[in-house]
Amino acid sequence: MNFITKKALPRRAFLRGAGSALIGLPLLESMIPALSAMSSTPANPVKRLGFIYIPNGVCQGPWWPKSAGPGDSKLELSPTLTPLEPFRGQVTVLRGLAHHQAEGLGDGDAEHTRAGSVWLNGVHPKLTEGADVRAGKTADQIAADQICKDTALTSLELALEPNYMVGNCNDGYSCVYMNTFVWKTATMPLPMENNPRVVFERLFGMGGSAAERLAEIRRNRSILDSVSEEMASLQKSLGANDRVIVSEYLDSVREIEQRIRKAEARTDGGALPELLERPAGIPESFEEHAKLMFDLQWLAYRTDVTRVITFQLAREFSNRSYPNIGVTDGHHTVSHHENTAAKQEKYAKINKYHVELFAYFLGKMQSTPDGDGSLLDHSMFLYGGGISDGNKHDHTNLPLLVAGGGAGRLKGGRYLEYPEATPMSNLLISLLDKAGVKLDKLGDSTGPLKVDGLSAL
Amino acid sequence: MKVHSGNLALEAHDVTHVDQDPALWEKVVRKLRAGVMPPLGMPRPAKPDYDRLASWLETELDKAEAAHPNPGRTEALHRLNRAEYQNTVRDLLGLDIDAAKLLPADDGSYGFDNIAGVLKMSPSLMERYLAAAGVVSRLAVGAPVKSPEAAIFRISPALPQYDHVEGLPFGTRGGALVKYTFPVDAEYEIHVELQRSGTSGGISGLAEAHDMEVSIGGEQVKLFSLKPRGGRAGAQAEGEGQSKEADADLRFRIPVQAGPHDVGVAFLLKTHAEETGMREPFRRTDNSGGNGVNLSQPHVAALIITGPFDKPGMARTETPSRKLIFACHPASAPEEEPCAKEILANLARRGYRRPVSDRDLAPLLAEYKTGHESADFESGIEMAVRRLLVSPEFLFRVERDPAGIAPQTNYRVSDLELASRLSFFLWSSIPDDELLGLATQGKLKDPMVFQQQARRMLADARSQALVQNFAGQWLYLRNVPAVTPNLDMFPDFDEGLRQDLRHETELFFGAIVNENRSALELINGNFTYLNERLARHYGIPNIYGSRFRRVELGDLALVRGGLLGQGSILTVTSHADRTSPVLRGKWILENILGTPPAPPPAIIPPLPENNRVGGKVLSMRERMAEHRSNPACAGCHKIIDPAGFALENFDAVGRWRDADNTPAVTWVRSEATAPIDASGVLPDGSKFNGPAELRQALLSDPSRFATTLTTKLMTYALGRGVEYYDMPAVRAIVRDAAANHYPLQTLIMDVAASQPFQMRRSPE
Repeated sequence: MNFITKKALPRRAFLRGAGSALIGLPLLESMIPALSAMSSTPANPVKRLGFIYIPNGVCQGPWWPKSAGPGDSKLELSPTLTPLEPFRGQVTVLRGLAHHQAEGLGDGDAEHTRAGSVWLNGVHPKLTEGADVRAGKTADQIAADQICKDTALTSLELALEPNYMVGNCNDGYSCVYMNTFVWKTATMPLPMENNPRVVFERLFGMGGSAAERLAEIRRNRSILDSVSEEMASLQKSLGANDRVIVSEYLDSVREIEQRIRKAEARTDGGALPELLERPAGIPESFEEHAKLMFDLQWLAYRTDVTRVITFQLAREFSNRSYPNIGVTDGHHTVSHHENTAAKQEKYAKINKYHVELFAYFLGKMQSTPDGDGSLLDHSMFLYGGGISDGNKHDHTNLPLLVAGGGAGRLKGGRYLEYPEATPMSNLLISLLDKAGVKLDKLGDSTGPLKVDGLSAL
Repeated sequence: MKVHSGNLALEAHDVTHVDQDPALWEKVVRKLRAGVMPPLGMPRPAKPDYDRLASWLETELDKAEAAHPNPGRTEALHRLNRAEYQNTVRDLLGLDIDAAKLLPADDGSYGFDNIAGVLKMSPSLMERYLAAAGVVSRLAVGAPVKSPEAAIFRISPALPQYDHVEGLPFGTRGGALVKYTFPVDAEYEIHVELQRSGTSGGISGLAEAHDMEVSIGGEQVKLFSLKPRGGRAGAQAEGEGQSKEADADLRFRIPVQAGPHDVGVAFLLKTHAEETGMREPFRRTDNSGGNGVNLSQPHVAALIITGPFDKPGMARTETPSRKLIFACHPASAPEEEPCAKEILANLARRGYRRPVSDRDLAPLLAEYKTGHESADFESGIEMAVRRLLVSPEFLFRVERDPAGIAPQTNYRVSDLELASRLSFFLWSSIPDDELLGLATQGKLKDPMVFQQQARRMLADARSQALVQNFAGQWLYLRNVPAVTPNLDMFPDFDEGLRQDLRHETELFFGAIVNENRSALELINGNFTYLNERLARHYGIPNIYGSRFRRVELGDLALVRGGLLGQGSILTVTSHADRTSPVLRGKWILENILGTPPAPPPAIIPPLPENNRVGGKVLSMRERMAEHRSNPACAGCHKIIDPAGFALENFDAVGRWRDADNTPAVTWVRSEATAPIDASGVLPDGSKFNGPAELRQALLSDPSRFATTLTTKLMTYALGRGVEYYDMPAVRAIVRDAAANHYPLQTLIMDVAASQPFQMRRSPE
């Protein structure tokens, strides 16, 4: 059994349950079958998608694998990527992909802002700080619309850094472009949550017995019904121009109503955990925090509360230092390595550390049985960022890798090199296709990746 | 005439027809007033001619605006942001909550997080509001809690606890003081965890016995005696199994009355305490090279309050929330509904910030009935409050155009809308009864009444919101909790200092508002607020104790006077391991001079690898010479860097230094040093050397800073970006305040009295 181990979740990360009894872990185990009835078989499309973002680009030398030569795509892990060794057979590193729409195109030098905003939609964000903020619906949301129709949550958006900071956004662009890289529509950015306790409560509710939960759910449903009515009459009292935001509000209310109905249906069996430990808040240590957030993702996939998760390992432009791995300079500072060895070394160290955290998560997914294989076999994760070399702020040759078995539809262990400046949007189209989501066009895409190198079929 | 600047190519524009492109000419005025146009080194007209050009342009622009006034338009729906939600719950329901635990932070624009246009709604946010409404309504009404919950208050391991903590009893050291709202009258368990060593997990500092007290509302309710735990004398009891559990028994149950209480935990001072000189004061407690905590005395790590547990026979306490909500208590069933209506009408009027009709009350009463059916009267009220807290009329400030108004017509906002504008500006919260009453009677539009209200509200403690939310963002104070100076280079930068730095600037800004002092004192003030910890950090003697007090700086004002001498500002504009003249220069351009520089280009040439060239130690200034010699950089950095250089005597955590010994490699402190050269030239040509002269240069034209501050206040007050058509109003405010040296309250009140604040334009 491989539930949250003490190592993964030090004692202070979790509260003791009522009456000081530590949680009966088997409780969770017993609820799993009720929640993840879905089993994946090789014939089924992949059921779980994840997108993990790293900011400030990567140190180039240690990131890129050695090219095996023409015609040979066998993956030899590079120094930065060595933590992925246990999963090498299910990892594909891609080179040559670019996000042209992240470039200035007349909107100045705010490279960090655009790098994150463009990552999953291939759309040049509108230069504004006003009500007209606009980007593009992101690939994860397009997928979630289709593959999360019957899950309790449509998707989950997570981050590690707080976004209350001031003065860290490029002038002219609203901070929203940097705070999140997920857009539900071209005009509706989704906030990313960094508090594990809140994530837990979104996944499993505020606690209480099954009966209490059900009562709570019904109370909320009744309230939302009445709010919808009130919204409709408010809408009538406003001018046409002001109705947009009201309809966003109304859509939000309706979506939650739907979710609540699903939750209500599920709770009938009383299968939800009653005494699952809930996280106390944001852990002091970065590593504890990062692992806890990965644990929660694993828990969400495992219980099938949602199948689409986005995760910002750090905010674009982040200048966090990592004293626990011996890097006391800020991340952004060392990413401007100025071709000096000392800075490059620290830069690469941070890159590798992030990969290690990702590998921690892959390990949990791999060791969790699911249907005829593991959770990892039936998942697909895109890991990477929207800047290539932090020193140059360039958006070509983006650091990208795909991990997971994709329910038999992804072939791993390879290093695929594409012609320089191939739109990354093409990759997103191909990835969604693996998840059974057909898409003709996304942002600046020109079609699926030309040679469908990802395919195992 | 020929004018060039950066991206502005003006030759095609006709300066004799300023009114044809006021947006462009406002940009020109801004650059002229900041002195960044034309660039340094280009021929520049004599100062009087230069100023005359700017003045003439301003007059033309003001005339153009007067001929075709435009008060602008903040979006019709303005969602409460997180801080406003928290304050509103406090004022509406008498309940202190930490909204950060319930709601996500809001996205900022134009430097503030109360900008209507980007305060969007989404399903995940709506879900959070729904959950928050459940928590808040339950706490406010004091509804029975079904299962016990634990609240955990963790204390940063970087916070030393060798000294007295303000607010805790004298004669104690360390510990923590937390405010907690006990949901109901019941028994609660209080548990104290002690700080552990990172390596062994053992509890540090237990070589000797210690006494620790727990207090509620200032009264001692429990005294624990911590027994010494073996080990070498003076050594931490690390690695010994026993000590790992030494805090397992630090728990007890106690009946507590519902409502907010201060819960404190602290160690009793030992009479034979170590002499201060024997230990290293102010050394970060978590700084031991990654080997974990090394404490000579025990520290509190967390205070955990779990409950409620049933305690039959306790009298029901009327909490502040219940007093505010329950305007009546029905004695019999027939009285219930009229009472519910009275309660809800009162809450809705204040929560929706306007008189309410039966139509507004219908959905609330419907929820009341549902709740009542499933339990009792109070459950009904709880459900109705929950419903109110997710109503669009509560979550959004709604401004409606008058019925049938023609497009693009200017009109005065209604008295009720004006009341909300004013209270959210000054208090980040809802209007109180007096303001709402005047607005309901239609009296608020009277300028005398309005001014009297604004003055009253500024005198009210709720105006502290201006410090937290306006100054907190304008001055970047919100970033202070996130700065992480390099541990090896700044071993004494601990959590306590971090909090003190922010506190100093908040008290300083607060004093200038409260005493209606000149806004210019923000730059050249000659007083500040210090406690012992911060005074030592600054090298100022004879200040003892943890309490902050006002300190007249005298001659020290040359060093520490005003914001630019305060550690908070100096630290948030530094890197972890060194100062950054660029960040400091940029901060000054943006927040003092009002001309933010453009972002850096995509490809940035390197600074010299380290600070040694041919055996000579280079100062930061020398390393950055590239900024000025490389033409790709010089255009901007000639403007950005100099103001930052003037502050080079302050190190990366705001201490004074005469030489720069920033080492080439951060883990080795450099022996060699380079003397500081703090001279420079502002974009307008004013020369300076060191912080004192920089202050003079920044204030050589005081209207420049006043304009920046007023523009920031206007942005924050309106919840939208300030546009060219707002600038005539800004200039008028600045002009009028000049004679009295820009009293800060006057600037704030004049913003509230200005056309953009009082009026609105209907959409196209």
